[in-house]
Amino acid sequence: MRVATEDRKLVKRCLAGDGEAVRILVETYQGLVYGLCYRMVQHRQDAEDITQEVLLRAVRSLKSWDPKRPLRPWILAITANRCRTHLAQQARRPVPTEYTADVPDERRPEHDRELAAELELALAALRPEYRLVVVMYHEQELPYEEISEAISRPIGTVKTWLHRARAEMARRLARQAGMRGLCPQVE
Amino acid sequence: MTCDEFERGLQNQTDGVHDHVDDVAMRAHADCCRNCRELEDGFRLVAQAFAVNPLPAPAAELTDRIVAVINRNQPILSRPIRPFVWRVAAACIFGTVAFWTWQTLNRNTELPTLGLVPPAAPLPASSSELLFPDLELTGAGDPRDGVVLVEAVEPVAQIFRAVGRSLGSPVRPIAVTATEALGTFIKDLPEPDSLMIPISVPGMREMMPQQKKMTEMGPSS
Repeated sequence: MRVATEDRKLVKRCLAGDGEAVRILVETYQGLVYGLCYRMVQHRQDAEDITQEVLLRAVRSLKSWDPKRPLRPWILAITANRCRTHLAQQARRPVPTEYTADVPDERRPEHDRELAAELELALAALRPEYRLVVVMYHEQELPYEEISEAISRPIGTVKTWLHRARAEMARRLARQAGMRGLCPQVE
Repeated sequence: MTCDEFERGLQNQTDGVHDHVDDVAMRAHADCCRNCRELEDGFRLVAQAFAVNPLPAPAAELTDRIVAVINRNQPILSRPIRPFVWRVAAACIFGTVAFWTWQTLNRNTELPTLGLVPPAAPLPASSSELLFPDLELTGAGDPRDGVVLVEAVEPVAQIFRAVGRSLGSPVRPIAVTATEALGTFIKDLPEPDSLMIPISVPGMREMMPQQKKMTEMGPSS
């Protein structure tokens, strides 16, 4: 409730032309939007571009935001739509060569790096809507209600998609882990 | 426990809604089902994978870039309104209200008339009193000189009335005032014999005093 009130005040200031409020809004939601974009498109530059586009669109559409509803799912809905559009456009054009992890982090252990790479591949193999709910749930740690509002689907559908996505990823990761010996519990 | 029930149990575990009985049953099933055991490990790996794969940080200047783009492209956001704009707006509102009030108060004001009958045709010399009853044409002067006065004043009053009717407010009240002033002026006129207005009205020549005197003297003199 407190967050919703603060969001309303922030939006009101943005609509009044307060530049500082716009900056606060961008800083508040930039990480959330960028994280979802990055997981969806798996490319840093593209994720930044989409983040910029999403936040620009959000600020320009603030008048149409319903103050009775929370702001975060509204911004995530714009993000999800923009990511879907980007993925659809990407499917129609050649894939750049570096569309995987941009810069491997050498400081991480080999096991973690392999697992992270497997995660990227498993996410990439999911349907976009499954990927959305998995990232929102596991990475953004959003409750079902907000995910449901952001993707405009019933909570039951969110749970079903999430379970299917997790099962797909789990089988893939377990298989790869078994092959690479990453998961000693699997006999 | 079947494999489907085991999978639902995994979902409940992830959502945090499982209980101890479920755990025991699932443990027993996993011990004897390799596929379900692998699936359980896979679920654990999914959660673990997100933990070991943090998001790369966006570019440091991303916030500035976004804010700059927003500032360049935000026609819908209004600029802060300066105080003098508010003062001008308040003055405009006050002026509008004052004008509306003034107009409402003057809405039913009828244009006064001078009580004159506009001359449609050349006036007969004897109609001065009829045309201009308020003017007392007494004294030594010719009472019919008032006809000249009527002919001079009435067109001006008509112009005032026409302007008042056609333009309405705010000209109307001005026309009303002017017409009233004209009526007052006429009523306060001095004695008719002091009005030395050149007479050019047809039919008035024979009524001049000199002619009248000549008429009284008669041809016999």
